[in-house]
Amino acid sequence: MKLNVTSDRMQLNVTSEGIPLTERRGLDGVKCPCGHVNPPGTLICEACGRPLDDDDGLLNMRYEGAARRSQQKPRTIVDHLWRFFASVKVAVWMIVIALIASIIGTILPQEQFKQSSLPPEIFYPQTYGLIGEIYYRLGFHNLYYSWWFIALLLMIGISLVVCSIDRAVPLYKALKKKRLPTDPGFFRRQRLFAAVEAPEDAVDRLRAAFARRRFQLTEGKGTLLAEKGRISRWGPYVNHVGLILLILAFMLRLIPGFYLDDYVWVWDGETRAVPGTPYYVKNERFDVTFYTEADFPDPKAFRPGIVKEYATHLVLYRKDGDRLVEVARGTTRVNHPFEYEGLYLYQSGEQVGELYGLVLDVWDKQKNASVGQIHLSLYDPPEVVDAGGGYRVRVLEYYPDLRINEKGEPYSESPRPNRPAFILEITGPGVEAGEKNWVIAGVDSDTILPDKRFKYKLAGFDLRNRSGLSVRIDRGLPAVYAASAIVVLGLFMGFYFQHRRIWIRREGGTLLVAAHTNKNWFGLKKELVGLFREAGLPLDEAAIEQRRKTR
Amino acid sequence: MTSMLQMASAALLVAFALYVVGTVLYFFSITGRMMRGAGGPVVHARRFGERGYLVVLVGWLFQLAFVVLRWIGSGHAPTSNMFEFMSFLAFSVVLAFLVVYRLYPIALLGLFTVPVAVVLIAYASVFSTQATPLIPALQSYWLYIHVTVAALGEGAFAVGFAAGLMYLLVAVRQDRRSLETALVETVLWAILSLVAFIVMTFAFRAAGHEVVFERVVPDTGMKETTVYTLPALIKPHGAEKVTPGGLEPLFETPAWMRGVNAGRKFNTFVLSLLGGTVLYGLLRLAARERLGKRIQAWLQGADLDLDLVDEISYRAIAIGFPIFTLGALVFAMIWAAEAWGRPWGWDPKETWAFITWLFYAAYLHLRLSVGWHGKKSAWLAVLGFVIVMTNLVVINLVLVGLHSYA
Repeated sequence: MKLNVTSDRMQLNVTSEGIPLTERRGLDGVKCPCGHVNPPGTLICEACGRPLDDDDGLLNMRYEGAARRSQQKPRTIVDHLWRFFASVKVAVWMIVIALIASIIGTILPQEQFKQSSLPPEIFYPQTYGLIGEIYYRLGFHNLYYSWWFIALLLMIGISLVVCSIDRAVPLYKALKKKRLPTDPGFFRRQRLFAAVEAPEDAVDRLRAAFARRRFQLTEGKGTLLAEKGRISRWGPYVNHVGLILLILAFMLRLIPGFYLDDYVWVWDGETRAVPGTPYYVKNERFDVTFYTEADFPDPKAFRPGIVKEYATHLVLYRKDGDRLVEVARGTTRVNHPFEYEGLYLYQSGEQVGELYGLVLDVWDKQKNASVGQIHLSLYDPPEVVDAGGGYRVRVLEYYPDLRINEKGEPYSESPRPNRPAFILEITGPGVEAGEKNWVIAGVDSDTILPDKRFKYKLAGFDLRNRSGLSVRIDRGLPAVYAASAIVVLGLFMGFYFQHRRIWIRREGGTLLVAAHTNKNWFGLKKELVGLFREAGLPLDEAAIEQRRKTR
Repeated sequence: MTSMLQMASAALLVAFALYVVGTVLYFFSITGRMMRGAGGPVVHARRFGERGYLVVLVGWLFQLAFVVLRWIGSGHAPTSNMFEFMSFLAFSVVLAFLVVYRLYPIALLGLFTVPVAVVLIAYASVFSTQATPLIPALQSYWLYIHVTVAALGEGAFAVGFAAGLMYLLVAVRQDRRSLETALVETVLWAILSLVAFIVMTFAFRAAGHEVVFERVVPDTGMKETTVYTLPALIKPHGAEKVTPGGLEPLFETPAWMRGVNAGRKFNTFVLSLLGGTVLYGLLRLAARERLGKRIQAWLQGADLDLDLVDEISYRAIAIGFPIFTLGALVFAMIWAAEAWGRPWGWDPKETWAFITWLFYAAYLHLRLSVGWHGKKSAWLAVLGFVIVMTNLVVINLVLVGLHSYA
């Protein structure tokens, strides 16, 4: 049996004779010829370092050959669950499934990116045909927020916890109790091994060389251990703890009040309630500026109409009784949101020169003259407007999207001003009792109500800018960043440091040298040669036996 | 400012030329062994390897000058469009090579890594090289931090890819046909397609080829024109050819490709694969055997330590992974939170960064905990970089999303 490439289970259960190890070793422990009784699943004797398998190949140093909980014979359902989640193979499978699911989710746009007002059940079949229909039916249009995808991510989270505990605890114990192997088999079966003839003072000279290279030295039972970069071993666990915290940090938004995601459109000069908050926001001015030729580093590349900045100058109010009290004022720009006590307003939508209202001439047909002009907003029409000359116009009804039902009654199809219509009443000199009339976009009222004294003629449009603001509160964000920092810290610990250990033991006139690292064997070999050179001992690179891992 | 930009362009050109020279030197460090040189093959390889390294290092310094001059000249870090990003990626690949070569000085690594940078710069030059000021969405110092750090990580992945490919070219048995030999040929064909794309683009640009298409956008009723600089095999969806004469396009782009200029990009993609097929066919006819087999025979002379190549591939990825995580996920989250008000939103580009990350996470677990070494590990290193390039190239072709300004 080859130890280096076989699976966990094979290493655990089967020896070269085909007898399950757990049985041979018993459930209570594995007894080493040196007398020490190791926990079941141990691969290398904790006391003398003697390999406990019946093999002669490269020794498996993963988790220092220490026993893990998941290797004990499962008895209860918890044991079975533990074993499932402690398996790296299971974890890799879950990662691969999440990966494939994520790819599927990018084949067609997700519902949030479909850039269409059509409902999804119509949008997907209409735009993508049968594939779209299937995609929608399987729920892939909202894949990343589906229960099974989130469950998968949580299961990966559980696997992170279990795998980490399962390995970190025995690893900690094994590394804390520094291994000082006395058994030559331990040396021989390391990936780097050398047996060299050495003078009496060889170990002393090496000790000095190690110290110069800042190795930590431990000695006992005739064995010298030089160690460096142990921090690297904790990297994966720090990283995994960070990932667990990251998942938890994202879950913080489930706490009421921790998370808000909304949107509000505000016209120039308008004040609107900020949805989900006690605040009101006034858009004092929404600016769009364009690059000029002078802004271009290369004048030849200049094209007009490239936006330099979108900015909304805004005032934030809080309602106090009937009054709005200003609490903050500032500007929100793309990439530079406005912030007030954890409430963020992002510049995320722009509409320039949109139709906001109508300018109407109030026309007296008897005098054949204009009385004055009125402005009617199509979004927030006034109740009463002063037309001048003592005349007042009252807005009785407003239909933004006028339709007539079967009974002949007017109604509005939508709140969007697609076909705006008003019923207005004018009072003033000569019409003290008031006169009602219709104003319908695109219709001359003389054709429907010719007998009225007053009519309203379209004199112009009121065009304004409108700014779209994303409204966000995310109180879990600092936790997300902190967890991310731990994730990255763990990765740098694990991959930018390397744990190097060199064992030296004198057996008669021969010096046994073995070395282990978790990466960069090439560098360790060079280091070993360098150390021996500094100690004035000959060690040729070719004399180091390097056991093959590949092929 | 214009003079700065001109100097920057010149510096990039010099860097490009030096990378080509470096590749040739590395080539000779292997091939020239058979020639009779002073001091025998080992000395010969070392000498050419060192010369190659020096030339590539000087080339990289010129590219550093390009980055600095372009930054000063344009007023922002050169990572804001496809030209700038792809050339920065080449810069990262060379940097990763220079670092990894210090750890593992084998000349063959240069022969496989430096050409990646050459191809990336050539690919970058296909896009508009004009320097323009930043649109509002990019006006953040996170543009510099997020994009540069992510690119540095991807540069290290590219070295992992090159070493992985090297491993496979030597280790896959070529004495008989198998699935693995077929996959090796596929990888070579894909690389040749990229080369074909670059050659065609420059050839037709030099010839001044142009075909104009026009279509009416259904929603707005506005006219939209698309200019092809390559022969038009596939026209944009719903468009008509305006340019008189020439060949009529044979196919139409499917409606679901909705990226900016999807028709033109799809046409280019298909043409590149065709060009790659032609190149592959010609080379195969010349070699009269599988290209992988011919390369393997040639690489025998290099006398590679496969364990070492395996470790280089892993080490490059291990160096790249923390940097990639930091740049492509963590800094990306911070910028997304500042620009869009959420750290994570499953935008296609974000999702593909996540996919890339999951893939390399799986790679590391398979290698470190399950014990996948050698060929399995090398295949994953190659596939990983394919995923990286998918995110950088294909996502912009087919998908719409918040990142679609490049």
